[in-house]
Amino acid sequence: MLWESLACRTNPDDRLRLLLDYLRRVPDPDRGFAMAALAARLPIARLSAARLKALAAERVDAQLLAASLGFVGDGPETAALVWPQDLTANRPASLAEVVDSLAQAGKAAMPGVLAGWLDRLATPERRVLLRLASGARLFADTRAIRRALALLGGVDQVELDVAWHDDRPPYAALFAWLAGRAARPAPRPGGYRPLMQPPLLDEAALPGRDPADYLACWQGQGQRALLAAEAGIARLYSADGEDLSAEFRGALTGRVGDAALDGEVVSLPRGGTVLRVLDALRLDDQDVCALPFVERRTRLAAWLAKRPGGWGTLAPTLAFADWADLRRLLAAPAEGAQGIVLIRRDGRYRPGEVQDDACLVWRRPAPRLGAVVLYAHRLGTALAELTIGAYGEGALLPVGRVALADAGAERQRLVAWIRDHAIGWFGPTCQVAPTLVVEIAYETVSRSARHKAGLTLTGARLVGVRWQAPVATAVQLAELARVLPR
Amino acid sequence: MRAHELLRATPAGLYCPPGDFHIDPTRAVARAVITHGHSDHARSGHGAVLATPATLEMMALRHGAVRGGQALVYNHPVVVNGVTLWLAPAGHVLGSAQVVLQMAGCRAVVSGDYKRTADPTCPPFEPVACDVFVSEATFALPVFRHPPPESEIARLLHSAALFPERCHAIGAYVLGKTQRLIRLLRQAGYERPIYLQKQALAICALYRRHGQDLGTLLPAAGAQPGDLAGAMVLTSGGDLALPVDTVRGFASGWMGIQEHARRRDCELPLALSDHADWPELVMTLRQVAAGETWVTHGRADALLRQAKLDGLRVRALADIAGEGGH
Ligand SMILES: [Zn+2]
Ligand SMILES: [Zn+2]
Repeated sequence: MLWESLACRTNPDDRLRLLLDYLRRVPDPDRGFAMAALAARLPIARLSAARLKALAAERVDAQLLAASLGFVGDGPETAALVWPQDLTANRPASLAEVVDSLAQAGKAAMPGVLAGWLDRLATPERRVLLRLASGARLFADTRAIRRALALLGGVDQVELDVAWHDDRPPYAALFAWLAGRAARPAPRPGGYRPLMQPPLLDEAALPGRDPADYLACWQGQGQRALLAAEAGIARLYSADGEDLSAEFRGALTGRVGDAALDGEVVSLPRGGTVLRVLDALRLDDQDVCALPFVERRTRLAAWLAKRPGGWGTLAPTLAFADWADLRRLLAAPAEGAQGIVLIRRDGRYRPGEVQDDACLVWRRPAPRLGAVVLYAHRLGTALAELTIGAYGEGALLPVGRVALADAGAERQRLVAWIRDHAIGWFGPTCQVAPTLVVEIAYETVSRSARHKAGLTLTGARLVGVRWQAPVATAVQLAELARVLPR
Repeated sequence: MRAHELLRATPAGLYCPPGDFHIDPTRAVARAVITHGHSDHARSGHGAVLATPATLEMMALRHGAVRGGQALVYNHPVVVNGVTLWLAPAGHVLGSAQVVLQMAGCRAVVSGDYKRTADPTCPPFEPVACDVFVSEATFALPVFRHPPPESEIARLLHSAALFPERCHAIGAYVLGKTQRLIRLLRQAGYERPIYLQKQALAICALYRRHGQDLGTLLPAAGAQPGDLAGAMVLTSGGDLALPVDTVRGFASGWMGIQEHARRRDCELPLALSDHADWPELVMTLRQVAAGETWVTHGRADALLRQAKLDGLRVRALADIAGEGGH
């Protein structure tokens, strides 16, 4: 039920309130398993679509099942709806009971165990269980879960994020801490630590700041990441805590050394990657967060110098005398850079969202273009995203996706337009007549093998609708190809 | 008498030759028996109309005074050209009826739209044993299992409690669904005023005359945006100025399928239906155990299959009409 409510809401505050309400109402360990289910962290074996169909065919006549599937379209949803509930059977005592038995069942026994539970559950519960078993992600916004947990316990978001990442479902230690029954769980060595998240610079406030207080580096040339190495085991996490280690196994083996480094994984022109290190949280066995940035940087440089040829390289600082210098640099940024990060020379490293001026990001002005709306996509029950396209070789090809929420006051009118111009629905996707031009701001044009156009707009967002503009005024693929990085 | 002599499908709808009247005809006819007030069943322009008092009032509300209107209460037989006819409750909306026809030992029941779930706004469906049963099939697929209405109302009230500052605007069919939603909300203890559009208010007044207590109802059109913050509004489309931070819901049997809920772009889908769901259809066909069931008003394939499994004789009314009448 919680998931269905969440899936229908687009407003982040609504989701937070729904999550908090659930966390306050539901006891342990069920609420922990529910959060794990939402975040796709439950240890349940996958069930193939064919296996699922076979399972449903044991309960429902094959012809009726086929007619149902033809109408609904989605396998897990159909199975959840047609599955006959045995109202005489006992309902499971708890979510924990269901999860435990599924986790313990081997791959061979799992479908049988699952079917046994489906007999005893109601439609919304069957729906969630079947989605999990089919490997679908329930809820993309794991940050909302972590925010709700921090609010529930009235604890620091950074400490919560660490504990969430260290713990495992049903998060007994975490909830004990949040309820005040136990001390904060000790952070796991080499585990995830939230990175410093600087706010965007307000240019109007620049005159009040002294350029001499700051060091500056290019920002956004690669994926922000934390390298956490301890006792010979190195792990790489995204800023949001996703474990990227498997993807970078080659780079992480050997020659890293114990440390917690904040940097960006940058692709090299001739292939391969490098971790461009901006800052350090820990060097060898010393926590350096409390040191001023210049001191951290000096130590970081020395530490990296002892490991020549390693994966990590020190991010260079930019030379500037005043703000005008930086503004000039931003007008022609280094390849791929989204902006400049400014860090106070005397600032300490503060994980999580930074509220003051200790660290700031100065974004380069986003370029804009007009693109044609091709598809609308729903997330949950609401339309949430648009696929936008550009003309190339006589055809309109998709070049990116933008969130509908950014349309602000225009959203309602856009949704109405989409309904009026829908050509057909394909699962969560609605194809529309390609007659509307929207204004898009974006960060870069990058190569993409996944797009037929061969390129995509990264960091694209909707900034307006050009209701009256003819589609011929939209951007051409050739124009985008010209600004591709070589 | 054989069933097809008592009742047959014609281009104008179901027709009773010996009685010389149509049931829910699709065009204006000389004499019509109307099962209930929904516009796809109760068209205007007939020479004479026989229906329950509530249905006649609903028709008058929409089209003005009904020419040749004859009101007939439930289970009160009359004889029309030698055909004994009575109306049995269908449990669909206020005044909804099944039409029972009987002549020379043959009985046919045209159920109109019906459901089996309890509804505080109308008496429950009464199964009538018969030779021919004409059934609707709006939700005739096993994927349609409407949840208990109480659980849907509980979800609505939970949202209203969790978001007390937000207006909750629920889309609902103006005749029947709206009044049932109001009664269900009142039964669940919701006592605050409920805001409605003009047409819904007029139908609610009719329900009130039939003894339905709907509590305080206010016109949504006259309300200030401030009044609607935190309020419950039931809408049936059309222009209505709602506060910006409104939780939009929709009450319909189709909302049970997530895909349909998504297409409506609503935040609070309520699977609440006035039509029988799959288990109710299957149960009803078994209970009525008619010599033959004719299926109309929806899809027939799944019911045909289920009937075969149950050893019942079911035909699609469209196929029967296609035979051109024998
Ligand atoms: Zn109806
Ligand atoms: Zn109908």
